[in-house]
Amino acid sequence: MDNLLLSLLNAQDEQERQQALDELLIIHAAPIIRQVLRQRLGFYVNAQGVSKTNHDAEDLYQDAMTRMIQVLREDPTTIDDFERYVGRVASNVCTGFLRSKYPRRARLKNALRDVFRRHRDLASWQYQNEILCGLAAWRNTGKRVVSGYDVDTKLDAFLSTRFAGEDLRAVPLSRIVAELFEWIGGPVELDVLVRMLAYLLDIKEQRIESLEDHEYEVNFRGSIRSTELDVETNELLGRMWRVVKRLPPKQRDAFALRFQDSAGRDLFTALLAAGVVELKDLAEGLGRPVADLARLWSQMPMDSETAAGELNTSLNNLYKWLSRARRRLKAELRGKS
Amino acid sequence: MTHHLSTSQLERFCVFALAEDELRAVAVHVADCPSCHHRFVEELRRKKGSGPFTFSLAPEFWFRHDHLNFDQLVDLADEKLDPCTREVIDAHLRTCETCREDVHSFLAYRKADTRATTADM
Repeated sequence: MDNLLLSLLNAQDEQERQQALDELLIIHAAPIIRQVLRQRLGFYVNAQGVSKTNHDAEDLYQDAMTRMIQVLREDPTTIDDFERYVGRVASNVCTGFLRSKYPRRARLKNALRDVFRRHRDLASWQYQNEILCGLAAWRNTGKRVVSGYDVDTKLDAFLSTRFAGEDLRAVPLSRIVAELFEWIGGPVELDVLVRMLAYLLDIKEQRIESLEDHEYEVNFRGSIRSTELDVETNELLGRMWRVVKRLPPKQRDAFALRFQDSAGRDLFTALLAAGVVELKDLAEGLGRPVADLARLWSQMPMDSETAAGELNTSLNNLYKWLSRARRRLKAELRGKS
Repeated sequence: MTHHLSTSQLERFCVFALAEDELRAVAVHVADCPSCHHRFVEELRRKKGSGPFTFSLAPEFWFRHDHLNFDQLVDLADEKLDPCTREVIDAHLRTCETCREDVHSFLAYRKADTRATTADM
């Protein structure tokens, strides 16, 4: 049994038990869950499990934490290695999420959205909390929204009436959609339309691989693998920091917020743990007070959308700054190696 | 904050498990107190590892999680992406099979629909 669990198992009363539980979850489990979400799904949440740009990421974080709370409350003695266990729980949550996705339907939905953009006779529009679609003439007329239940059982009749003898997969999507709207007679929710078309076009989803097929290791406190593309040594890390400090502020900030090393550690962690800088050096180098640094650090490494939001800019601008920063770093680091 | 930080505070600081005000106060103290800074770095190394770090500047690594959104798919199909965004997307597509299939599917639907619309005219 893992020594990390001793304080929970030896707790004398409910208050001690809760304190031990909080410590296990906040200090040990949370960072692992964040890392697994990042590495498996590219989902970024801050230290509190919050993401301003991705609600799925928040839900999955909460899901993993809830599972950990459950097992720690009910039977923690089943856990031999706590951190490995957390890694597996988080990984299972990721696999469950992937299994719930329908990539082929998602592609169909993208194609439909494009059809509505490009065809003047067809449209999609926001109505209360839904996205509706239909003939353009129905937009904002208050025409009754047709429920999926009214139509689902009649789709075979639609096929035989409107497309008898035709291979629907060879028919342009815009034509199928136009005929379907005329047949239905009213607007539908976009997701309902996707479901109907998936049935008509016989779109089947591929099975996502199960977790059991590949053991997912949390590379948290362990060794760091390097690849042909990677650059090693603390000396180089120090050189990198000197170059980063000299970048134009926007490039510098974009690089700093987005950076992660091969093990998923953010820039501040990398530099501080390597002894390359102290906290006040970081603050000075980034032109920010130490207190603000702590706020940023708790969200790092950031995904592109979050970083763009933090820097109050567009994704395109962020990409531009990152491209320039990376090019400059590559040139300067190569020049001195 | 004039006293030194406890081990628990430093542990929690390393994983940002402190309320916002306390996080800021601890950060300021750590920056100003050599002894606490030293203990903080020790704790950070314990938590996050202290071996040599490796990093990559390759765009395939940097943008591996930047999955294409609908607007980017449209701009790609319309050839309206600015050069930097195009570079990022190309790098991402080199590593992401799902997005490659998304692009392939989107372009195929668009091509079939455009062909049909042109034929109707």
